[in-house]
Amino acid sequence: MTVAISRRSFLVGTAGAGVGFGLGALSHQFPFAPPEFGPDWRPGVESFVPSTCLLCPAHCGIRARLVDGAFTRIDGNPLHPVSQGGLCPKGRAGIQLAYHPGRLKGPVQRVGPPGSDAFEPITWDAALDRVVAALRAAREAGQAQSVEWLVGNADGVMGDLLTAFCRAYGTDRITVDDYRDGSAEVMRLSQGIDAAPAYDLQSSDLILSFGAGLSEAWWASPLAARARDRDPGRAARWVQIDVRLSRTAVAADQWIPIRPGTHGALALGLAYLIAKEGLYDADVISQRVSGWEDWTDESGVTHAGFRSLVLRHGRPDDVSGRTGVPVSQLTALAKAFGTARSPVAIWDHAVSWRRGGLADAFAIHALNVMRGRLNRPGGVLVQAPMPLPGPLDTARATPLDLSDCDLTATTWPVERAGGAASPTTVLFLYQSNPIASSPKSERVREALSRVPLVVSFSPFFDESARYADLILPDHTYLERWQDAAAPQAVPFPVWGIVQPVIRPLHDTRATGDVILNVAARLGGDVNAWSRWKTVEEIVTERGMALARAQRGSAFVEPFRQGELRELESRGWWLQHGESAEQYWQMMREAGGWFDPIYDYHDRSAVSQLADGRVWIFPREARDRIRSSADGLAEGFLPITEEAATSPARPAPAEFPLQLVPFRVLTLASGGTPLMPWLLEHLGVLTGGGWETWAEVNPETARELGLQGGERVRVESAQGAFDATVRVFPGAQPGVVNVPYGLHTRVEGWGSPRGGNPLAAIGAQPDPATGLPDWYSTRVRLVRI
Amino acid sequence: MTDLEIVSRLEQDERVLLMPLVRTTKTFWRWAALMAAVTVWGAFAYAYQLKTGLGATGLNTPEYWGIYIICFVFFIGISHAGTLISAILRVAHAEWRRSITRSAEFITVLVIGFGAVQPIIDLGRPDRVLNVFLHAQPFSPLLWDVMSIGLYFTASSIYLYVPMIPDLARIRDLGLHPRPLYWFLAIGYRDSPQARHTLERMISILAVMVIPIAVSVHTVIGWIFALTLRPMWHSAIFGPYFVMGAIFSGIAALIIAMAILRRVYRLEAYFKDVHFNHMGVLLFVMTVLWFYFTFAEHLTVWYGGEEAELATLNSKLTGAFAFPFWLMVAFCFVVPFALMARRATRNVTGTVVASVAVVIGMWLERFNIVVPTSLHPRGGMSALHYVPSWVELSIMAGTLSGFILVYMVATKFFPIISIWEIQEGREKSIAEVSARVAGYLPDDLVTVER
Amino acid sequence: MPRWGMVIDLDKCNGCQACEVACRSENNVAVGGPQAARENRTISWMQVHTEVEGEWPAIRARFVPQPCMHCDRPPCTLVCPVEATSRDREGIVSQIYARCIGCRYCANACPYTVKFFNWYKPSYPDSVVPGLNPDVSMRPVGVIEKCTFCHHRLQKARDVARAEKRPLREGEYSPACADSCPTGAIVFGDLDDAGQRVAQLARDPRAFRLHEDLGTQPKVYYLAEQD
Ligand SMILES: Nc1nc2c(c(=O)[nH]1)N[C@H]1C(S)=C(S)[C@@H](COP(=O)(O)OP(=O)(O)OC[C@H]3O[C@@H](n4cnc5c(=O)[nH]c(N)nc54)[C@H](O)[C@@H]3O)O[C@H]1N2
Ligand SMILES: Nc1nc2c(c(=O)[nH]1)N[C@H]1C(S)=C(S)[C@@H](COP(=O)(O)OP(=O)(O)OC[C@H]3O[C@@H](n4cnc5c(=O)[nH]c(N)nc54)[C@H](O)[C@@H]3O)O[C@H]1N2
Ligand code: SF4
Ligand code: SF4
Ligand code: SF4
Ligand code: SF4
Ligand code: SF4
Ligand SMILES: [Mo]
Repeated sequence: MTVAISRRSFLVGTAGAGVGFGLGALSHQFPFAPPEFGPDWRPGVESFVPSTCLLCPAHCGIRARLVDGAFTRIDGNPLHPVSQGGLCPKGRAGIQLAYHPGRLKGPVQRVGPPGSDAFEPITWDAALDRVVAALRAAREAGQAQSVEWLVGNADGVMGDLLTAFCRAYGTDRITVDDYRDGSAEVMRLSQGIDAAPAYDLQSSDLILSFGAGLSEAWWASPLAARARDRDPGRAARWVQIDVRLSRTAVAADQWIPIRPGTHGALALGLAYLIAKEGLYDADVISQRVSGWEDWTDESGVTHAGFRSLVLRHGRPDDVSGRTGVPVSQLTALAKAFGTARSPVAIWDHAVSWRRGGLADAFAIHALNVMRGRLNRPGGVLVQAPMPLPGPLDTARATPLDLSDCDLTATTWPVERAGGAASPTTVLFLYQSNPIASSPKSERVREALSRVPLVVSFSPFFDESARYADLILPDHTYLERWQDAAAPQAVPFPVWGIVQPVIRPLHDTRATGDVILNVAARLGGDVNAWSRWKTVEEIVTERGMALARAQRGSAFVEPFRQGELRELESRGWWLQHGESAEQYWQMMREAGGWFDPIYDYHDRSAVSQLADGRVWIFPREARDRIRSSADGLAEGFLPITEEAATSPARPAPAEFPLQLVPFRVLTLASGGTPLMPWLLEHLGVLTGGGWETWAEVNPETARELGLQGGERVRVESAQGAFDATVRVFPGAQPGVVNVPYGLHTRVEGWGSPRGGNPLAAIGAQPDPATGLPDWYSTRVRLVRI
Repeated sequence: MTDLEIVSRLEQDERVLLMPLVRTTKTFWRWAALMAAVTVWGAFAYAYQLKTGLGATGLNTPEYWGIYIICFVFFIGISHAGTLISAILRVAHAEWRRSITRSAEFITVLVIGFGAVQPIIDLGRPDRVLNVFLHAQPFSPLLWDVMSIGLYFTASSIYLYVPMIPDLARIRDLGLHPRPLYWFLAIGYRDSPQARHTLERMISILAVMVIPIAVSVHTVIGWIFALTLRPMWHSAIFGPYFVMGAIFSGIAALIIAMAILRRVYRLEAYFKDVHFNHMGVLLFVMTVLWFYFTFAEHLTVWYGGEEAELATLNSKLTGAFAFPFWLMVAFCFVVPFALMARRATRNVTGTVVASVAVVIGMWLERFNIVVPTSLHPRGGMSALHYVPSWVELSIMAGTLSGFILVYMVATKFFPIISIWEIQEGREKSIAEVSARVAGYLPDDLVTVER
Repeated sequence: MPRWGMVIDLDKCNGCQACEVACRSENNVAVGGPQAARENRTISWMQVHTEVEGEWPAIRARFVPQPCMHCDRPPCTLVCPVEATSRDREGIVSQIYARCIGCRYCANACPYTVKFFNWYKPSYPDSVVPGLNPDVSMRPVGVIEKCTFCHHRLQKARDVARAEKRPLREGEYSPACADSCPTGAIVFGDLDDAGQRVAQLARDPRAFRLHEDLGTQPKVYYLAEQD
C-alpha cells in the first residue's frame, strides 16, 4: 500500500511540475522570429573598390567592400597618404546614405503647395525639358542674371563644372560654401598667399590649438588623428585651449579652459611674455617681418608696431583677468611655446566666426610669425599646387568671376546693395538645404516659395527639396564619378578619385552629367566650352593630366611613401607603368594621386607680397577690423577697451548665459540626412543619443534649479529651440554647450528629438570677413 | 439525501470541518469571480509580452532583472510556510499543530507553482525553456534551482497528500460528491489500527525528509545572486539569509490565511487565540532573526567600504532607494517587533496586522536586493531608473490572485483542517502528553532502595 | 594554440567612436532608435566610455573604449544554464543565439556590463537589408548578444591560410574596430606569441586591465595615458 500511495501522488506531483514548463512550451505558437540566416553562412566572393569620402572637407580615402557584388561595408583605404586606412564614424556610416529608405526613387515634380508632401513622378526627359525651357526663356528675356545657384559643397570637378556653366550661361549668382574659417584671409593679408595654412602635425613638438576641433569637425581631422598614432618616445605635446571640455580637449595632452571669445587676448598675453623674455626669432623678424617695430607710412603717420602694442596691452595679470587663465599657466605656456623646437599655433572657425574674430586670428597667427614658424618643418606650411588642367572654359575671353564671399546656406537670401540684381526666376539647390542650415529658416521658406522655378538635386526628400518644383535626384557619392582634393590644411597635394562603388540603386542621375546634358540642350555658346558627355570623361582627363605631369605617384603603402619623399627630394622620379594610361589605371586601383615632396626653401611659401616680407597685423587688416567691430583696444586688437573683467563678471540679467554651439564629430553639416548609426552614438562625453542636448555646469544647473534630463527651451533675443539638459562638469559655469545638426528629419528611419541652435543665433555675418557671427549669442534656459 | 443534509447530520468536528465542501456562499462566488478576472487579465498581459518581447517590461541595461525575479523569490519564500513549518511542528510533537498543518501544507503546494513560473515569464525565449534539460550546464545555479524546486514540489505534494488520505476515505464513505474524485484519491484506504500505524510512520519519515529539501530550495535561490561578482549580491550570508527570510514571510502568510479561514468558515473553535499566540511567538523569533541577519549583512558591507559595494549600499541607506529600504525596515522589524513582543497584542488582530506588514516588507526586501545592485554595476554607468511597466504589474497581480483563487477552490474540495488528527487529538493527546510529562518527572527513589 | 587578445592605448584614443560604428557595420547590430535610447536599451558591442574627474576648471578626463573583455575566467559563461555562452580553446567567449533562452543571468554576472539583450525584435528597413554583412548571423528577439572579437573574421582568415597551406600570420585576423581606428589605438593579436606587437604591448609597464582584482583575467589590456 505504501508503494501504491507514493507512486500515484508522485504522478500528481510531476504532472504539476510539468505545468510550469508546459506554459513556456505553449508560447512556441507565438510569433517569435527565427534567426534570419543561421550559422550556415557560406563565405561570399569579396571585392574592394577604392573611392573618396565626400562627407566632410577632409576627403579621406575609402574602400567599399562588396560580397558577391553586394555593397556591404565602407573601410578606410590603407593606401591613402593622409587617412592611411583610418576613417571617422561618418565615413563608415556613409553606406547608410546609399541604402537610406528616405532616398528618392527618381525625379519628381511638386503638385501641391510649396513645402507640401504632394509630389508626383516625372520622366527625366520631361523634367529636363522644363528646366531647359525655363533657362532658355530667362536668357532670351535678357535675364540670365535672374538664374541663381545655391551650392553646399562642390568638390573638384563639380566646382569647375558649375562655374563654367554659369559663366557660359551668363549669371554670376552662384554661392559656394568653401568651409572658410578666415585663415586664408589672414594668410592673404599678412603673406599675400591666397590659401589656408597647411600643417605637418607629426613634425610639430608643440601643437597649440586655439579652439580648433582637431579631433572633431576640423578641416583635416585625419591629420590630427594620425598625429596621435606615434611611438610614445617623440610625443608631440598637444595643448587644447577651449571654451568647453570638448572631445579634442579630452584627447589633448593638456586642456586649458578659457572664457568664450578671449582666445585673441590669450595670444596677446603669450606674445607679451615671449617678447619680454626675448624668446622670439630675432633674425627672422628683423630680416623678413614688417609691423613688428613702429613705422611711419608714406603720408607720414606713425603706426604702433606689434611689439609696442603687445607690451602695452598684453600684461599677464590683465590677460589672465580677461581669459580666466591663471598667470602661472599663462607663463608656463608662453615658456613652452617660446622654447619648443617646432611649435605651431592653430585656429579655425572657433575663433573667426565671431564679430571681430579676425583680430583674434591675427594675434594667434602672430605667435607663429614671432617664432619664425612659417614654412618650417612642423610649422605653418603652404600646400603646393596640383598639375591639373585649369578651368574647363579656358577658351572664353572675358570670364565673369563669381561671388564666393557668401556661405551658401548660412547667408541666403543675400540682400544685395540697392537690390541691383533682378529677382530670381530659377533657383538651383545643389548639396544645399538652406531651410535646415540657415539661421533664418522662415525667410528662406518664403524666399523659396516666391521663386517661380526651384530645382533641387538632392537625393533625399529634405526640407528645402519640399519647396522645390522639381527634384532631380543626384547619385550619392558612392554611385557617381567625381574627384576631391585634400583640404589645404594638408601640406602636400592629394587628389582623391570618387568613382562608383555600386551601380545606382534608383533611377537617379549624377548632377554633373545632368548639367552637361542641359548645356548641350541649350546649345550655342552656352555649350561652346563643353566637349564632354559625362563627368567621368572629365575626371579621366584630369587623371591623365596628372599622369603626364612626371610628378608624384599613385597612392602607395605607407612605408613606400617615405622612399618616394627621399627620391623626389633628390630630384628623382620613377616612371609609373609604361604609359600615362597605365599610370592612370594604377591611380584608379589605388584611389588617387599624391605628391609627398615638400620644399622648405620655397620663399613663395613664406610671402608673396611685393617686398617679400611678412606682415604682423598689416594695415588693411587693422582698417577692416576697425570697420567691423567697435570697442576694441586701439580699434583692432582682440581685447575690449574697458578694463579686464573679473572672474565674477555680473551676467546680463535677461540673457545670463553664453551659447556655445559645436559640431559633433558624428554629425554632418546642417541638413545632411542623419545616419541612424551615428545618432545611436552621439555625445561620447555626455552619453545618450537621438536628441539635442544642452550641457550645463553642475553649479550653473544648481543656480537655475535644473536637473539632468529635463527639457528646456533655449531662448535668445533672436529666437529659441528646445533641448534636454545634461549636467556636465566639462561645461563652463555661465555657459551652455549645444551640438548642432540634429534638427533635420530623417525620412523613414527614426527621427531624433532635435532642436536647431541656429534658431537662436543671430544671422548677421561679420562685415570684416563675411563670416557668420555664431559665437556671441547670449541665452536663457526656460523649463518646458 | 443531499450532501448538505449528510454533513449537517454529523457531529461537531466533521460537521463544521466538512461544511465548506458542501455549502458555498454568494460572497465566495463574488470573490472567486474577482480573483478569476484579475488572473485572466494577468494572463492577457503575458500574452502581450510574448508578442512584443520583453520590451513590454520596464527592464533595461543594466537593469536586467526586475519584478518577475522579485516575485519568484517572494512566492517561493511564501511557499516555505506550509511544509517546513508543519514538518517542524510534527517532528517536535507540538500538539497545537493539529489544526494548523493542513492549511499550511496547502499554501506550499499551491503557491510554489506560481513562484516557479516567474523565471519562465522572465525569459526572453520561453519557447526554448526545455533547453534547460536538453543542454543542461551543471555549473549554473539556475539549473540547481530547477532541480531543488522540482524536488521540493514533489515532496510537498506527497507530504500534503498522505496525511489527507484518512479524511478522503471518510468523505468517500460519506458519499459526498464528486464521488469518483474521492474514490480515486482515497486509493482504497480502509481505516484500521495497523493502517493508521503505517500512515503515521510514513508521515514522520516524510516530515524529516522534507526539512532539508525545503532548506535547500531557498539556499539555492540565494546562491543565484551570491555566486555572481555583483556588489551586495556576492555574499556568503545569502543562503541562510534567504532561508530565514522565506520562513519569516511563510509564517506571516500562514497567519493571514488562518485568520481568513477562521472568519469565513467560522472556525473560531479550531483556530483559537492560543494558536495565534503561538504563531505570534514564532513570528517574533523570526523578526529578531531577520534584524540580526540584515544588520550583519549591511554592517560587513559598510565596514569593508569597498567602492562598488558602498555605491550600492549608500543608494539604499540615503540614496535613490532610501524609501523602499527604510519602509522595509519598518515593516519587517519595527511593526512586528512592537506587536509580537507583548502578549496583549499577540491576539488575532495583532498577529494579522504584523503579518501583513511582514509580507509587504519581505517583498520590499527582495526588491531592495534585486534592483539597487542591478542599477549599480562596477565601473558605474549613467545613473538610471527602473519603472515596472503595466505588463509586469498586471502579471504580478495575476499571480497573486491566481494563488488565492486556487486556494479558495481547494477549500471547497478538501477539509482545510485535518479531521482525523483533530479527533485523534481529542481521543489520545491528553493521555500522550501526560505520559510524556510523566516521563520528564524524577523517578521514585523508594523503589530504587528496595 | 593562440590566445587572442587586444590592447587599447588610451593615450592615442581620441574618442572618435569609429570603432563603435565599425562594429555595428561589421556585425549587423540593429538600430534601436530614439525610444530604445531613452529606455537605455541601445545595443553597442563596443562602447567608448568617458571618465571625467574633478570640477571646472580642474578636470581630468579620458576615453575608455570597452568591448567584451573575453575574460580567461569568465563569470558569465559559468552561470549560463544552457551553455549558450562559452569560452573556446583560443580564449574567445562566444554566444549561441539559437540556444540562448534569454534569462540574462550572464549579463548580470558580467562585471563589465558589455552584454546586451534584444528587448525587441531587431528590425531593418527593407532598403538596407542588401547591405547587411552576410558573414554574421542576425539575432532574434529575446536573446543576449555581445562582442565576439569578430570571430567570423578568424574563420575566414583560417580558410585562406589553410587554402595556402601555411599558418595564420600576424594581422591576418583583425577585428573591425581595430581595423577602423584612425589613431591606431587598438592592437589585436595572439597574446601568447611573444613576437607579436599585441603581446609586447600587453607586457608594457603602462599596461593594465579593468577590475583586475576580480580575477576574471580579461584579455583586453589598456595602456595608461602618459603626460
Ligand atoms: N564631423 C563634421 N565635420 C565637419 C562638418 C560637419 O558637419 N561635421 N562640417 C564641415 C564644415 S561645412 C565646416 S564649416 C567646418 C566647421 O568646423 P568647426 O568650426 O571646427 O566646427 P564647429 O564645431 O562648429 O566649431 C565650433 C567650435 O568652436 C567652439 N566655440 C563655440 N563658441 C565659441 C566661442 O565663443 N569662442 C571660441 N573661441 N570657441 C567657441 C566650440 O566649442 C566648437 O568646438 O567643419 C567641417 N567638418
Ligand atoms: N543647424 C546647423 N546649421 C548649419 C550648420 C550646422 O552645423 N548646423 N553648418 C553651417 C555650415 S558651416 C555649412 S557649410 C552649411 C552646410 O549646410 P548645407 O550647405 O545646406 O549642406 P548640408 O546641410 O550639409 O547638406 C545639404 C543637402 O545636400 C543634400 N545632399 C546630400 N548628399 C548629396 C549628394 O550626394 N548630392 C546632392 N546633390 N545633394 C546631396 C542633402 O539633402 C542635404 O540636405 O550649414 C550651415 N548651417
Ligand atoms: S573625416 Fe570627413 S572625409 Fe574623413 S571619413 Fe570622416 S567624414 Fe569622411
Ligand atoms: S576608433 Fe580608436 S580612437 Fe576612435 S574611439 Fe575607438 S579606439 Fe578611440
Ligand atoms: S567581459 Fe563580461 S561578457 Fe565578456 S567575457 Fe568577461 S564576463 Fe563575459
Ligand atoms: S541569457 Fe542566454 S547566454 Fe545568458 S545565461 Fe541566459 S541563456 Fe545563457
Ligand atoms: S572585436 Fe569585433 S565585435 Fe568586438 S567590438 Fe571590435 S568590432 Fe565589435
Ligand atoms: Mo561650412
